[in-house]
Amino acid sequence: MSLRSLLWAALLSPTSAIAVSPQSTDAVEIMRAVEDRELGDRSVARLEIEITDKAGRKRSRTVRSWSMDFEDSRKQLMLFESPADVRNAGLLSVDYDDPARSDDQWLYLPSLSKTTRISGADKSGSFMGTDLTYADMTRRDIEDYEYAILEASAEVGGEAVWLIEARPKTDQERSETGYLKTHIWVSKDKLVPVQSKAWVSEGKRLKYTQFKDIKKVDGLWIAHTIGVRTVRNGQVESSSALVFTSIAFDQEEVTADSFSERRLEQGL
Amino acid sequence: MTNPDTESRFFRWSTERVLQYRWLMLALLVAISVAAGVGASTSLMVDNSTEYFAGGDAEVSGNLESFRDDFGRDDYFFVLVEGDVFSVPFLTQLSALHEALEAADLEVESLGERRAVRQARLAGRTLPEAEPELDDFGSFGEDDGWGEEAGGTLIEEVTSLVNFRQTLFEDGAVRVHGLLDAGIPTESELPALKEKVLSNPAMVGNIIGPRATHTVLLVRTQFMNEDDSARVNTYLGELSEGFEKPGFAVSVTGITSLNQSLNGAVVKDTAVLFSLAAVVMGIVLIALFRRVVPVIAPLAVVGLSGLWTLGMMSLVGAPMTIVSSIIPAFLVCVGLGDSIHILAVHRDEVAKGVGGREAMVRAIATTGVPVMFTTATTMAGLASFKFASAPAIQEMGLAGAFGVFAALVNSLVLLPILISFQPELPGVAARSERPPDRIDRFLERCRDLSVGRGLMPTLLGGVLLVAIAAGGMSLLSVYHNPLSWLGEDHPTTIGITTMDKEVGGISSVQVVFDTESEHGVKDLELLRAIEDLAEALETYEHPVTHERIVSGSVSLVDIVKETNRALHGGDPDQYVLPDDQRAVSDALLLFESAGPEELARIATADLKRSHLSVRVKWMDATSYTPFRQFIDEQIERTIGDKAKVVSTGGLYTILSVIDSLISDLIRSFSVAVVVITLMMIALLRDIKLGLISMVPNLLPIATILGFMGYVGIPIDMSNLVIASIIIGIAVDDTIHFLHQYRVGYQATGSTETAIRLAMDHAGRAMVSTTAVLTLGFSVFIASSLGSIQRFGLLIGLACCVALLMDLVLAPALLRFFIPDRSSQGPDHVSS
Repeated sequence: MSLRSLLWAALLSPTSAIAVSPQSTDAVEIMRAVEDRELGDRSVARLEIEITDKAGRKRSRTVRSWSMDFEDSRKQLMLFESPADVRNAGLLSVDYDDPARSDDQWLYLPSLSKTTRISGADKSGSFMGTDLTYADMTRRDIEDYEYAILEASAEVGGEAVWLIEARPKTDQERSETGYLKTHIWVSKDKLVPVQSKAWVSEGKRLKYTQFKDIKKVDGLWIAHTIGVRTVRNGQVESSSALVFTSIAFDQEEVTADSFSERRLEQGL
Repeated sequence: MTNPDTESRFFRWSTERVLQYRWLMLALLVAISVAAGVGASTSLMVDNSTEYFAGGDAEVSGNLESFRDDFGRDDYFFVLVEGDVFSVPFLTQLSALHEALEAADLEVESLGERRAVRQARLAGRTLPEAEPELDDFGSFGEDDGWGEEAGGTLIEEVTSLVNFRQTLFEDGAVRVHGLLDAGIPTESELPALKEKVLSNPAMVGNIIGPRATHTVLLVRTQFMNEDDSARVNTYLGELSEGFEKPGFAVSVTGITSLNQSLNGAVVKDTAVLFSLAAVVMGIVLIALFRRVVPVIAPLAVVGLSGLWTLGMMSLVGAPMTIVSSIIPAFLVCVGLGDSIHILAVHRDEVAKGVGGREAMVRAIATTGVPVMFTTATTMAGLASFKFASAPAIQEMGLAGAFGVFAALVNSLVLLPILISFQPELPGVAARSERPPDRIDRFLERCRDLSVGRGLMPTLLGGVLLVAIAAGGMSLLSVYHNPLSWLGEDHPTTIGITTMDKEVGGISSVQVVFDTESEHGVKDLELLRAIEDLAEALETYEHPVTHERIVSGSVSLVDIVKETNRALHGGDPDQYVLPDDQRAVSDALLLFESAGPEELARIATADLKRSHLSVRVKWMDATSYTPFRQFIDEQIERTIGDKAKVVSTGGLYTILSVIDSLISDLIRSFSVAVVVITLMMIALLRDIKLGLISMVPNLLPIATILGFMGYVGIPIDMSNLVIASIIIGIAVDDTIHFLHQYRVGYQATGSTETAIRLAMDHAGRAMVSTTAVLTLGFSVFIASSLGSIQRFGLLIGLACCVALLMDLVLAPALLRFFIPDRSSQGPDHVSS
């Protein structure tokens, strides 16, 4: 399992989780419970992103996001709210359930007054310039990973957790995600990840992720803040903070029409 | 039996104590030497980087470190490959080499270590915390290493034809990928690929030359120290060699190769020159003393002094450089002078029938004061480099001064102890009892040159020499080209010149734009100005050779243009900056997601600062000076007040070296002259005599600098120290001569008698020490660096000139300026 599914699960984990005993030492069972749950649908969110470079310099942007499940895919529309010079630029992405099928992405740049398709070949590419990749943002198949319990009774911030190691089974998965392995700390109470550490193959980097401010929204446990830090040889290369200032599910305003090119070009 | 008129009570007392406790003293000296040896062998570094030479310029260093804080390393390891680039076998092999380089791994202890941080640590300073403030990660997020998993930490990035970024519009979509991501092209696809590459200004002059006979893989690693850089350079060279085959010739070049070659030469030279100097000195000592202990003892004195100096350098973290590599051999030559003066008197005392220990006590009691003063003046000459701006020069001066002091201590302690183990020497004929030899006849001729009718021509000759030397000095040029030190046939020189000629330069200028406002670097007007600036710089021609020296440049402008073209369906006409600001912002928004790491190398996260990276061909540093003026003019013309602009990078570092050369020379030399003049006045206790004494010290320097001007030897980093070193050495003979003169003049009041006494007592030792120094410095001819060879010859020449000045001009000046107060007058001096 990669970071991508962790994010997915952390962001959109319903409370009606499959029950797993806190005493369980079956890593696959735990991760299946984390992964195979009904995901929230028809969401509307506002996300503030702050990117910090190695010198401590920061840039921020705000994105409005809509997402919805379709028969064979999940679609997401993101529109830039700020900074002002990119307001209304937008990205429409389709993440197909079929792992063999490449995702589609369309970019709308107001200056061009038309929508451009972006090649989705490289999913290990950055998500909006953050430390997260597009691959991090999409759901992955649990069967692609080997899991092992490293600690059955760990604690993070006073919360009882399992520490689980996930390793991709195939070179393809390793190559696509860019991760050699991931350590995941899963809350026994909420059945959501609270933090993770990923070994990034390229450049022997380490990517640390913290899921914080986990609160229930419409019955789902939602990490309202995600902090990601990329470290290499003991030096922080960059970090990103993603903060959901608002998020709601099952919103009536979210319909199939919300994910059309026309809607993308319409802007905020 | 003592002579209170000529002996120092202090040195008599100290030598008696040294000999009384000789075993204890010996044990102490051995302990210090072992500690120094361990320190030197385990932690002495070698560093010949231009960056280190320029480290004294706070503004230049500060600009470079600020650049590195924001954008990372500004230099590469260049893996240069020669062959028919656009052929299937070549590209196949290139792809394999690229992959191997990306996977290259080597355990590098200092990985991530920045020079500035290391230097600050050595200096006991703390730098501002570089790590950014982050969210509350606590102990989680502290890097505990990558564990046992395999991977590559060493290589940060490899850029070549294989992966050169292409932002293209293909199959109806904007796609960012490497040039050969789709695999090696077929024969039929090669012409199109060649045209595409050679028409891309971002590639030509950057990773491929216009003739397509060479291409280069740019290997960027993380920061590391000099030693590890050299190891990595060797490792990359060996790795690349494994891919060599007919039509695919590989070599690794770049600044690191240059530094490594220089460092290797320095390490080799230090050992070779020291050994050769010791052998030559040994032969000279055998000729002088014809006994085992008087030969071994002075060599032990200088050997231990050299070792202590290296130990001290390792202790304070001062690395060996091309400048300090001369120190051990220098100490052998200079340090031996003290021993020779002491042993000469010791031999005379033995000849007079004085017992062994008392002979040594008398020798040191007699020579202690002048030996101490000669040491002090040589130290002053060297310590004056403390006022130079380059740390390499400062540290060489201080290390040399310490070494000379160590030689004094060992001459006064180790030498008498070792000589005390010498069985009683057989009687040597006293000077008055043996027939005049060549040295006596030479001294007599020198004396004759300034007596009677010879006086005025000698003085006029001195004035003429000054005039001629001044003419030569006006021709002196300043030059700094470390590559020229290695010679034209050195593989590193060949690699760098080939790189320059066939692909693009290995040096760089980084022009940093600071808009001081968030997203300021996206400003269209600023981007247009940067585009204008880049064009101007790329077309700059060397004022003499009329060759273009900039091989290419990269900035945010290229990214915007490339992305704009891709967004317009790949239309080549759209490889331009967009017409409106919004389009620029949109283009960068797209690129940010496609290549955040590339964007981070060219602009800061807050988009307040970005830079224009200009690749520049290798030249001597002086040739860069007009280019820098051109850069400044063009920045003023194009950027104006659109952003604050600071230029930095390798070339600016070199320029700061050249800027400081002459001022360093003048500043340190002036300090040396003032300090040594004051010392001479103190020693001779006579202002007039002290000032006269400086004439024979300064004239050899003028002569050598004039000679350098006439024969075209420029002032560079390796010979910058020459003037201060010459005065430090030349003054030794003057001190011995004038010390004896003053003693004679005080006793008789007769200038003539005092000159004769000085000639008799100091003349022979002066000739001997000059012969020793000249022979000693002549071993520098064995150096593998041309600059060191020239340096040795110039110092040797200076020693000879200094001797002539002391034996001919100094007596003439004394006769001209010092009144004769004896009742007999000069005509009655016995001969």
